[in-house]
Amino acid sequence: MDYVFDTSAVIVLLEICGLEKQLLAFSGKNALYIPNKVREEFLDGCKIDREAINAFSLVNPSLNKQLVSYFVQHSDSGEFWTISHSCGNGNCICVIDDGFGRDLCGFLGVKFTGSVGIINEMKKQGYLSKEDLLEIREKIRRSNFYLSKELLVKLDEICFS
Amino acid sequence: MTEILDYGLDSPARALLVLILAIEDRTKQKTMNKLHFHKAIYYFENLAQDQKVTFSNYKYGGVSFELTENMETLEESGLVTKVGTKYVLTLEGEKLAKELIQEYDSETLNKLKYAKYLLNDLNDKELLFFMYMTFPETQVNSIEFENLVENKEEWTRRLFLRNRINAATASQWLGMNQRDFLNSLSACDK
Repeated sequence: MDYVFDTSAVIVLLEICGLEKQLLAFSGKNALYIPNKVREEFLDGCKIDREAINAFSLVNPSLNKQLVSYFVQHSDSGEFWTISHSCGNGNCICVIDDGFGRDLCGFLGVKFTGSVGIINEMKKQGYLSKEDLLEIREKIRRSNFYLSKELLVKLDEICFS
Repeated sequence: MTEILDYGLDSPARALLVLILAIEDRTKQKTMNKLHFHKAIYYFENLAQDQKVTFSNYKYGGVSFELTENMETLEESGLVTKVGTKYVLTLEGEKLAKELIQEYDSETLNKLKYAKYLLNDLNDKELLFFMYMTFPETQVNSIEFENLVENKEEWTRRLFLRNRINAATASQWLGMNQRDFLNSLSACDK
């Protein structure tokens, strides 16, 4: 599958869960993209080795004029460029944890998942063991980083199924 | 078409009022109160980048006397009725709305739907805070902005948790970076 990631999902997967190696392996069979703006946002305040971002391939989406108006204030946000890339590449799934972006994808009919959905896919494709999953769950629960209650419930289902 | 002209629905303000009352919000409600239809149409016009209705910055931010007058006319014509403080289309209004929808392109209708989807189920204070922050020019003459901005952390957090703004917008409103904003939420929301 092809995926394009928003900043908070990259933070969860790389910085909170430390999945750089597993993502590199996952990228052997799946295309993992980030727009330049997401890379920039991730590196702003990055708390891990900055090279970790190289698990993702950089893309330069073209400006989606229809989409720009839905971001009344922030057409320069990583999320805008993530959804823009997916709009221009129908098979590419947005990876977004932010509720606003997920709702907007749903409204516009753009395919989306989140960091928890990626963890599930990595599990299905055999890149994460049961031990990895329990460790991921613990790291996310212990971190201060916000994930909605709904996503945390999904994570529990994935870890214990 | 004749009925559309008979009821003056060739006027953009009147047509937008009928159309927006025909749309369901995210809670499947069609009814709207006065504050919400003013704000939703203001938001829609910014989204569509097509200003057809006149707005002024008044006590509650951007409001339109044109919309108020046209809503009164629609009520008098029997296309709209008021239930409590909320406006709703009558059966005749619903019938005309279906005809009117055919006259509009899908992109315009989608943006109108999105404006209602985003705003109609917010409470009055959430809605006012969202509009004042999204369109700062509407803060002029406001009697509510100063009170709301005293608790801007709380209103911003609520709008983020209700998926009405993204982390980039929330962090900009609060003058912090996205990581700090997202970290600040977890303690009370996990």
